[in-house]
Amino acid sequence: MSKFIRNISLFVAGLPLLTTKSISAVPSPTVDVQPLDSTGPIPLRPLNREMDNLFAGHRSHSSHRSHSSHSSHYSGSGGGGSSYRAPAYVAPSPAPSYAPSPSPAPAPLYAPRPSGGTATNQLNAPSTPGRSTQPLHNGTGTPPGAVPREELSNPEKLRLQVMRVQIKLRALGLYDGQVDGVLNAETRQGLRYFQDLKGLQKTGTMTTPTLNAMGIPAVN
Amino acid sequence: MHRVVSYANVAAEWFPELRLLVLARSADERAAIEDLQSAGLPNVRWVESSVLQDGDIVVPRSVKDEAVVLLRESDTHHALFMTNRCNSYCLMCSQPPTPADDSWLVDEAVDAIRHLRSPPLLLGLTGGEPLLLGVGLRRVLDAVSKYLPGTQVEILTNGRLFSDWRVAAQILTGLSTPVRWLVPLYGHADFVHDFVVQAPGAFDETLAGLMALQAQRQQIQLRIVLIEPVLQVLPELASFIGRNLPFVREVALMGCEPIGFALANRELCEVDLAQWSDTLELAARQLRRHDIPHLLMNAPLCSLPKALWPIAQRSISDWKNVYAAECEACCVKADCSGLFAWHERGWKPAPLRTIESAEAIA
Repeated sequence: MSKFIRNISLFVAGLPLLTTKSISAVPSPTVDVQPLDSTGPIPLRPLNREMDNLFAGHRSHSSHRSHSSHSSHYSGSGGGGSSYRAPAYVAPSPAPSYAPSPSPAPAPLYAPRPSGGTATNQLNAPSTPGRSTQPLHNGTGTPPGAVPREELSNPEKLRLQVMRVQIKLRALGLYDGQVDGVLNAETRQGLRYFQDLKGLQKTGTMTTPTLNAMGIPAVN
Repeated sequence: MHRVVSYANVAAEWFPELRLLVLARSADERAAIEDLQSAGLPNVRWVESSVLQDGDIVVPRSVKDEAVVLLRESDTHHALFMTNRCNSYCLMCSQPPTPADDSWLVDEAVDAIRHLRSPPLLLGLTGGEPLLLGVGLRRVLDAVSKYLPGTQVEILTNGRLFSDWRVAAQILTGLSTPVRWLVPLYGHADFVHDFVVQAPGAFDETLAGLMALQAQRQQIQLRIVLIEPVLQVLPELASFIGRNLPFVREVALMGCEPIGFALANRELCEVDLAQWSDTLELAARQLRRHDIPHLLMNAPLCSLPKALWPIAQRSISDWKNVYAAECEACCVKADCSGLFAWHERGWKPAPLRTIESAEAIA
């Protein structure tokens, strides 16, 4: 049953793509499909088009802009590449009952246990844990992360996009450095590893097909 | 305030000023999130939960080991609670006010709006009396227009503080967010309205507030809760609105929610709507005569004369909407508002009956 619903929500999430004119990207499917054996529908439009990507680097691929041959990677992007995680990160330490926070964050956060964690709702609204529907992107066709935020300057946009790429690379075990938004040599090497794995042109830059394969909406 | 995201979406949704709570489903994912923390990302944490959903806006309560879900994308009704203070003390108040200073709720609301992933079609702001927040309410509305373009806001307010031009200027001048103001009016004369809201002078202030809203060309929905003192004057109130407030977008006639002060004032609030059908029809006729759009809310179809069925709405927010045993076989259930979840402890708006298909078609 849940498999069935999951498919429907994918379908609905994909619907606005056909009608929305100026969206820069498609919503990445948020359902928990496994990336590599996904049989769900594949969005017709790549996550980012060339003109969305401000920081593709010097070798922008304007000559073959659609990259239809790579578009299938998008379907896997939503699931991330947990299968690529390097052994270094698998270290199964005894799970702490709370997430240690290295930052001066507002309050220490204790992760609710799966059993005891109750989600209550303000306004006396009982959240319905048994609900089987998957959250949709509201039918607006706005991809997550594309909701307008503070106006960013160009350097800030570049930094944000690099940070997202670094997060992805680090999750895949392809990058070992700090997530600092600097497109340093290590990050470029990580990009090349990723491009190699995905059969993309090994530029070491944030080309649009690379971002699409990572499932990262371009910052613009 | 955190946005719940699935592990796969962390890279795509990460943003410096957002706090992400990652749904970790395995030790690997937990370790990966902790790895990101050590790589210099302060605003990413993990959570283990089977009830939280991707896109939820939550406030973790570390002491109690739980998280309050403020907004959930898959819900059909979204509302933010602005304050529990109020300057009225209505007979049938479903959310009895408390005097404590809760202005922190403004910051929480702005934060929740900032964390939302995509703009909902409609966002309700409720209370208490949101106008008591003054410029704080304007901050929330500006946040909506900045972070949630295209979202229509609905604000439940008694409008009384808009009689003060400074408050009206503070909140309404240059307001770009599309807002519909839901303002209650309970009588055609001050003694009725002031009695119902238990506040002397409230009638004049609310009327002045409605004028201030109209001066700024704001959308107004008048809300009339159908309790006995109001039903006594309902036709007069309807023609008062038609003659004096012709600019309102619509008038909502609403069944009383049997909770809060309504339970304490039961002899005034518990009515059998079926016995007031003539009054309801007369009031609807007056509104129609004055060309004022009107609708019925929170009233199950079996409590209404059939002539009023077309204007009855399915109005009860999904999280507090239930149906009774009589409804199971009813052939108009799909079009019916149903009941408030707490009607068991209170009362039903009328004795329920099952509508047979012959009756529905006739």
